[in-house]
Amino acid sequence: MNNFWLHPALILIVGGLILPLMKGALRKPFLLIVPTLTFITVLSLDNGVHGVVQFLDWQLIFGRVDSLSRIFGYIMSLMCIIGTLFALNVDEDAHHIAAWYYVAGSIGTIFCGDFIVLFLFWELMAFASVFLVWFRRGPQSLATGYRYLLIHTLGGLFLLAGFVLRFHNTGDLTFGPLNVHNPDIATYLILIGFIVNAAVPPFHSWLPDAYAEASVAGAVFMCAFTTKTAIYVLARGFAGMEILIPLGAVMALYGVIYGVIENDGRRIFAWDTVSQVGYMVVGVGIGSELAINGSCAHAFAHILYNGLLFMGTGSVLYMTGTCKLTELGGLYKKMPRTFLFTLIGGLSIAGFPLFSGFVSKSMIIAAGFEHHHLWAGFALLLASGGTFLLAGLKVPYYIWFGNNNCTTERWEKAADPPWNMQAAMAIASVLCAFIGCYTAYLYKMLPFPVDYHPYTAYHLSETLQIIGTSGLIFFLLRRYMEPTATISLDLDWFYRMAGRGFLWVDSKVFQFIDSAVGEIYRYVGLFPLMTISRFWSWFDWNAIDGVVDGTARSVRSLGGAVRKVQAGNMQYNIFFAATVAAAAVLVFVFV
Amino acid sequence: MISLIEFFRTRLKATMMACLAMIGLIALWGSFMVDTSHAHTSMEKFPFFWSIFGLLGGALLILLSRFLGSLGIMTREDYYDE
Repeated sequence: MNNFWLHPALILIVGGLILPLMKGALRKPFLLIVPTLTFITVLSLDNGVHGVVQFLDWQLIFGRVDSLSRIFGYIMSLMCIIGTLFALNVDEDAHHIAAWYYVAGSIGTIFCGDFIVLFLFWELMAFASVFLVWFRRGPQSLATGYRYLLIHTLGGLFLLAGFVLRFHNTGDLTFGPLNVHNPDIATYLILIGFIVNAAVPPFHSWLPDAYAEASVAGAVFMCAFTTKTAIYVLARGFAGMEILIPLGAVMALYGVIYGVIENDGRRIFAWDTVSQVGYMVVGVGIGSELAINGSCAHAFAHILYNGLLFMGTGSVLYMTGTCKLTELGGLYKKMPRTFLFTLIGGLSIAGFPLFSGFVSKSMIIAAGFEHHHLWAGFALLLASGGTFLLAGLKVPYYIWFGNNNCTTERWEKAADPPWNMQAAMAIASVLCAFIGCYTAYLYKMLPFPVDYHPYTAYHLSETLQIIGTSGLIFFLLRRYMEPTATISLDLDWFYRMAGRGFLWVDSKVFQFIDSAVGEIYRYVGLFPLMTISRFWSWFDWNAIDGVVDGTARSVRSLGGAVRKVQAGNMQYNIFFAATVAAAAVLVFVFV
Repeated sequence: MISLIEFFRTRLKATMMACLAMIGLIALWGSFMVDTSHAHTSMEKFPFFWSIFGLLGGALLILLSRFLGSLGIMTREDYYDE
């Protein structure tokens, strides 16, 4: 354990510190070298426990490398390269530093072996990523960032309370599979901490709120790391926790329902993220080898196609200044490559054959049916059709086709984005198709041996029928899919309104009480107090000072008398002393 | 890319008919030519099960979303700006 072990997250952290020193021609290569080095370091990790540090009474484990942490570390560091390439034209160093520290938090969490290190990197993720919201510098960014931070701090506190209580009960801080069949309070607290980051209802509202308000490049990072890191910790600690099955199924449908009525392109994909993470949560809840493999595979595929979708819609926002479907349309003439890349992302998320979602999400659905969670399996298949409605049809149609609602200025500005953004989208697109076509690439990385074949005639017919008829229903009910210039109220309404309620109570009720108490004090409290003060002033002046001054005056007059006697001449003093002594002797002798 | 899109757009009706025909053919193929012994449940063995599932499911999701939206969930964009 004393051998040198380089933590991949450390490369990003040190790289972030050096970045401000990189100027001119060095800067862009440096931006690409740091995440590439991180990726290579992750690839070169050996299985086992590394980076063990003794801290007080605890052993901190920074590097637990096994098949589960390896696949997540692989995709996180790969996505960091793609995200940084997409963000290459961002001039602010702080933006890149925030993104890298965020990824470092994610990678640190993935390779940690105990709760203290987990908590450390968990919080790094939250505090670094909030800057990706603030760097948008929009009218809502600051407030959204604070809401994001508030929710994640709350989640972090649940996690902290959970593992401290667990340590108190068991004396164990190791992070591994928890007792999911007889969970105690500590286990539930840790679970809440994790599912806040996984955006499981009712803790999901931070996700569409933050992702839609983040900077263009920031959203590409955010959509990849927080929720999938949460899936990793859930898969590590809570595999087989059955409550996650209904929660995940609800998530999968909840996201689609909100996506249908949403107008902002990035917010639609944020809702799709909620929906897709729902599949992974179901997989963790089932907990079998096939299901955990499915969750890992889907997390891997999801990071790539979700990043691609956020890059596509982010490019539209970057070039035109808006991502609202009601303010766009007909852009295929202006942004054809962006359309193609976004469509590939849409087909991947919808699970279209030959694209990544087809080979990943179907494992979770198959595991659901295999373990007789029929309703969960059907719910996920329903969500799959809904996802195609959103990502495969609604967003591409209303941005790139449909009525042209662009203003002249917006239409003039619209064009495919700079080369680096296109290159990042192209790489993600190729990977989405590659995973869908060559399944061994992904399946060989999964934590358990894979005995699953997605390309069966039955699976193909099932998927193509659902997707085909979903497409048909989109055109039949298109007037209900028409975007409207509205926002959708969600559970964040409660805490946003609670915040306002608190502000109102504070500014009205407490302010009133404070003023009233002030007035009452002035009339009731201050007057008697002044009277008492005046009495004590009088008492002090006349009584205390009288006594003190009287004593002082007596001492002074005595001093004066003594002064007269004690003139300071030694001969007189001796004379008076000798006289008194002689008188005393005479009295003693003759009397 | 643009010319390919323009090609289909100028022949919109034919493109739509081709899509419809493809959906129909897939439904027929899936219902009568595919081995359903790998079906998850017995009800999937009914012909056109997944096509009906996709149609009804899609309609349910769209209409349910709109209905919930009309209950007050969908609101004006400056709702939180007050």
